[in-house]
Amino acid sequence: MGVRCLLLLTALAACHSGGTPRRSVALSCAPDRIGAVVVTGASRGELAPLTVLEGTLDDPERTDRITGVALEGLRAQGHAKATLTVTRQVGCGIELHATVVRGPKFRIARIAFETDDEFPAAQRLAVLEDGLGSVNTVGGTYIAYRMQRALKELKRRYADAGWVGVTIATPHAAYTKDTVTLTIPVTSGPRFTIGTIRAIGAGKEARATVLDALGLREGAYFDRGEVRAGIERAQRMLDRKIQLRVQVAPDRTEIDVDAIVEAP
Amino acid sequence: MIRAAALALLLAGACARPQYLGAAMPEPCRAKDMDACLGWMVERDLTAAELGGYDDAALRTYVQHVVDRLARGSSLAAVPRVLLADRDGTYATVGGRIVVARPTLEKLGSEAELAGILAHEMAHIEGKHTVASLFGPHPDDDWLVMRRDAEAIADERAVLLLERAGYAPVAMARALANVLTVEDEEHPEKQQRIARVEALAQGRTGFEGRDELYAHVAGMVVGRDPRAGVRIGDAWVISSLGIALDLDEDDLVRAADDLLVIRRGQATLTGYVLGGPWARELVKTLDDRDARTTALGRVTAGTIARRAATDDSPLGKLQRAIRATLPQPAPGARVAILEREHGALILEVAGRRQPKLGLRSATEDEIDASEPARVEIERAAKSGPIASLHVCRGALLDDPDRVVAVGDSIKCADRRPLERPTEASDAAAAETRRDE
Repeated sequence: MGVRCLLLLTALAACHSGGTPRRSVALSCAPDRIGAVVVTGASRGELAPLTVLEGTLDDPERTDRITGVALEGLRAQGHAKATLTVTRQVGCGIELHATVVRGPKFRIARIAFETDDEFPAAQRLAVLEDGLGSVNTVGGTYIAYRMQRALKELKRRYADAGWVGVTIATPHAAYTKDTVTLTIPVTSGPRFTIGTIRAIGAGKEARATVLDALGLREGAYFDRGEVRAGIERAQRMLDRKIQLRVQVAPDRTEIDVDAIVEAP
Repeated sequence: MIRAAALALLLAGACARPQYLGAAMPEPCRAKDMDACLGWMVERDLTAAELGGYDDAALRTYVQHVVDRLARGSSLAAVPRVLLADRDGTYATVGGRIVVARPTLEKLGSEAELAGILAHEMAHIEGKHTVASLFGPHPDDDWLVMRRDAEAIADERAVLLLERAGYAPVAMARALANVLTVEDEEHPEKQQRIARVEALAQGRTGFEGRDELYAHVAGMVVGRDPRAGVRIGDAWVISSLGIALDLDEDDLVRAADDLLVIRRGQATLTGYVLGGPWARELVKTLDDRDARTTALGRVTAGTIARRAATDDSPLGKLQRAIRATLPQPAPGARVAILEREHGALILEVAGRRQPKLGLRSATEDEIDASEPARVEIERAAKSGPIASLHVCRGALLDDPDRVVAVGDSIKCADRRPLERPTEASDAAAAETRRDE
């Protein structure tokens, strides 16, 4: 599967809607095959990763891993405290008996950031929200490990916008009967500005062209997106590769920007 | 009059449906059935953005019938929809689509083998593996283990689906042997995969259907389709668009599959073909846009703009995520886009000087010379191993060790097909100077 597929899958997130599967057809009963997967407490479609094992080779370790995947699938639907127990019996080949206790379906009631920084509030929430807006968003499902991944991305966005020392703590989740409220502490620290801007490694005229193309101003808030766009402009104008080097000044809240022009 | 116009505008606004690549989004997208919506988008991408579809209605219908037959023994509520693609890689997508690559069809020896490949993809859809790969217990650390599990399960489940549909289960092992060419870390090793499905099939036979498959692939394009771009004499000819790009004496030309790179003086031109709707969307977003109507069609020059996230609705996010995967130049690239009736040519221009592009209509001779090789089915005049029979005008596409009887079908190409350049070997092999 290529990168493209992964991106599509990422976009899909938790929005896969289960159909109404038909009952499986009887299998030939070989002792090394999984002959049947019997599900109680949920539909077969909800445990699709497990029910598709019908007809496959019996591999207990793999079955354990797939059980974990199926359970995560249930939890991704909002059943945060669901349990899934799978037992093995000899019958028509090996029979797997899967018992689900769904528990309540939780929805996110509120996501609050404990901070007073100027990072755009809507963007903060948008970074957390998964693909199609059904996971880690108000009204949607809370999935902790996906939230951790999203928070890593949020931290990167903060750093790109100049808050290079930001720390984002693990969210606190408070559950009620069927809702969860998330509180996310953010210590953003000072917002860094651009210190010196230098063009290195070319003739005087080329360096001037690079500095002009960069379009940056010393003292402005650092914005990695703008810096990258400037480098791309300069590369196009010179038709030369330009390497970007950014250095956080040790004793100032500034970031020095060097554009290193490669030899033709 | 003003009131009527205002009312018309209001009604038009109310009836406006969200668009994707120039087409109104279907009901599932508006009803937020994102699974079905994504399937539609994948299909739209293939035809409207990448020009990656393989247009053969009869062949598609045939492959769809095989899927229909397999689906009856599966746990799927809806039969997956088959799409034929012109590039390598057969895969299942979210939204119940199975994209079948033409090069995969070329390698298969019977309908049962085709069914094996399709059953494998159907098992991915049955097991919701695409979704499961997102919700695994440790997606960062164990993602690869989960991928390999899913592939092995799909192989094994496919044997069962073949059996239920009356196909020969042993065909699954042959299908894997024929189709798998490279190893990757997402799949179990080829020999291990084959051994597992052989163990499950235990030599059980059923319907094979060599003649059925061969009858349907007869006339299918073989190898890389030169109509997407091929060098003929002093020109790069893209007969699918009916155009040619004249090459200068000092041009340095490099062709990687359907991507053309020309070093011309102090400039570099990178060209590839896109679907018309996607090209028109790109044209709309160009900065410093300069559009001209030429004898070849509308040519728009400009700079690819950075796309700002403006729509944070779920549908907006989905569209952005998918658009980001479509073929397109990087933000900031200078481009010229030529729109033609059946698609568009995009030329990325890097360097200090704007080179002369040298585009013109392709001649009839050039278009004739761009015709691809196609599958031709011959009948054995003698019995014995195919290798000993001296058959095929072009290339032999069949197993040379297969023993045939008089009158049996043998798969050939009607002429020698173009090699599909590999990523690794292409750069060195295809780089040529005109005068060398």
